[in-house]
Amino acid sequence: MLFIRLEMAGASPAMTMDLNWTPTDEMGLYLFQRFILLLATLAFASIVVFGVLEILPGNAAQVMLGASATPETVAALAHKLGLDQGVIVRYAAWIGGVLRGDFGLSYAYDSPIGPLIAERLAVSAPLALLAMLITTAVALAAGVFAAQRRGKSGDVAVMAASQIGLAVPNFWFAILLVLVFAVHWRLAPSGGFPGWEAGLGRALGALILPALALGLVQAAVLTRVTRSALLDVLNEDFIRTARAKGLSRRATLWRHALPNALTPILTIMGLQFANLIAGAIVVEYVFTLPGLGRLVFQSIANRDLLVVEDCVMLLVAIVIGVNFFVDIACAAIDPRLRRRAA
Amino acid sequence: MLLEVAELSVDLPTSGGVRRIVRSASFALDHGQTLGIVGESGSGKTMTALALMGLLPDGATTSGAILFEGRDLLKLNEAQMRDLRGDRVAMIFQEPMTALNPLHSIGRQIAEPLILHRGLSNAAAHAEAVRLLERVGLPDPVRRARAYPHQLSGGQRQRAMIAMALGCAPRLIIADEPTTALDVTVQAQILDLIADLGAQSDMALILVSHDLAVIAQNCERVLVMYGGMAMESGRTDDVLARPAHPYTKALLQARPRVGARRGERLQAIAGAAPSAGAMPKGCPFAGRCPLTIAACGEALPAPVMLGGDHMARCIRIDAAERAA
Repeated sequence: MLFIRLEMAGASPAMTMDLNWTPTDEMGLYLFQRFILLLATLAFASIVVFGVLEILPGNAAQVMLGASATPETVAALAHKLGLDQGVIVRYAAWIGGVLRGDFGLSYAYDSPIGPLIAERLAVSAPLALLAMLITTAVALAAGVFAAQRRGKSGDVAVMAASQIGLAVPNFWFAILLVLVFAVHWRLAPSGGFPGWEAGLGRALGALILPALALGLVQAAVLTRVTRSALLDVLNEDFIRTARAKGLSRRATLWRHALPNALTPILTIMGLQFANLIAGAIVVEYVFTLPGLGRLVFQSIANRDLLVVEDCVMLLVAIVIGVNFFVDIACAAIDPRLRRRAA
Repeated sequence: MLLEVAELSVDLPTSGGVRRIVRSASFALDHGQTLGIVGESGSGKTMTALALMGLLPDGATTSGAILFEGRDLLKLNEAQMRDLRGDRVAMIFQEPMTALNPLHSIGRQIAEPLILHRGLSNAAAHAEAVRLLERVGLPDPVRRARAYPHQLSGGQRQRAMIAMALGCAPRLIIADEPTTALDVTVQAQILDLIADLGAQSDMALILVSHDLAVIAQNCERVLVMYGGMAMESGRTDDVLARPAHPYTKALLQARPRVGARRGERLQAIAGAAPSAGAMPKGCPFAGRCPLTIAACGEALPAPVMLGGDHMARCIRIDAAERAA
């Protein structure tokens, strides 16, 4: 706990725009409460994820082997999977293994699940980060630009572009990018992933088109959120106060308006990031990337239940973790959000 | 003269076309003087104040002149106006809850103009902010400087707002309804504080209010606005003792009086103020005035001087005097 507090305190100067945030006991208490809540949510989620597979009709071995399997093979697999033990014992064994980093064995790949997921995550996580970076850069720039020119031609152009972004599905945009940049101009590979051992440049090169496909389409939503959040704040009285002090429009925007608009922006960004990790599957298919989404999809097709279980738990943990950090970031920005802790 | 406003007009674009919000307002103010601008909502008093700050809404256009320390503010560019704002002219706003940035500590918000205009370091500006908070009568100023707006009461926030405005020792403070959002008991404290601090440092004060009583108690001079026009102006004592304009008279009669008999009805002014969109060609008060004649609707009434600098814009002043 103390470790996390210090880490957050250390991160604050870079993280905050111009917020002059100093960690306080109030903030420490808030962090502690959120962290306890994070652990409780994770524990609850693990029970739900485990429970969903428990209530499948028949047992997991039967589901995995299909209807044509003999009772003997089903019994053998059930024993191998530990299905002949009690529910509590199996839950404890699973969660204990996950906590130790032992994710169990994949039935379909006949190999440990941990390295399998790690290998996929080495593609999906950088892809999500890269896409989020593109989303954030484009959306913040476009959103601020449009808000400052409300109703003028620049605003109308940004809004029209974002409307197109909202209407275009990312896989269609992905195919368009492949046609233009990979097939026509041959600037980037059309698909596949050479692995990080092939060098940073080649690996990133393989991720750039999928990241653009995901990031730009998503930026349409975040641009609109940024614009409307900023327009709300620019109408506030304290913006006029800042100007009455003699601050320029630009300084007013960066010091007073944008930090106040950040809470809704960060909240949406958190949702989008979680969505990128789990929801990139269609774009992964277009670019034949060996990502986490494809692993989940293949495992479902293979009835590789333990892999599905582990992957779903991982995605749940990522979503909860991202929300945790969004909450902490919002509280670091807005002192009013820390009040709940008191 | 510190401030001379001459024939100030403000036009504001709205969805229904351009509207004249302030019509040919003229007034003057010397160092250390206090002027009250009184009027109903929509009378143009806030827009007049914002015009002085150069903070009118986007698209607003102005004509006339605002001479401040010899310079016409309407002719200054944005960078020159920025140098004046918060330094030579400061403003106190109505709603201290929303007029302070919820994310910044009180001390930081007070320090901001000091860093901007005085070039103080962060530490020096913060120390000065604590001194200012002490000066506006906040107990435990060191702790208050670290607090955020939501941790203070309305009166405390307004004191912080005053500290912010005082920081650079401006020559002119414009207070727009500074006590409207506060409890009555706190109102008097805040008004006394503004008056005291202004007098100490020889600052001129423009107090904008809908409340004639507030202005009567705090301002040497008064400007009565209606429909964007300065209807009557002069020394507060003169105007209140011998109101010349029918609108000023109606305003005085509409005031609740302490000691009035229970059940005695207030004298409301019949009708409603004209909206800026339907502003008549002539006197804006003509539609509600008991003394209206045909000529009232034809042209803007010219200012009539009534001795000293007591002025009223009414062509029926003689009749008004007889009626009184």
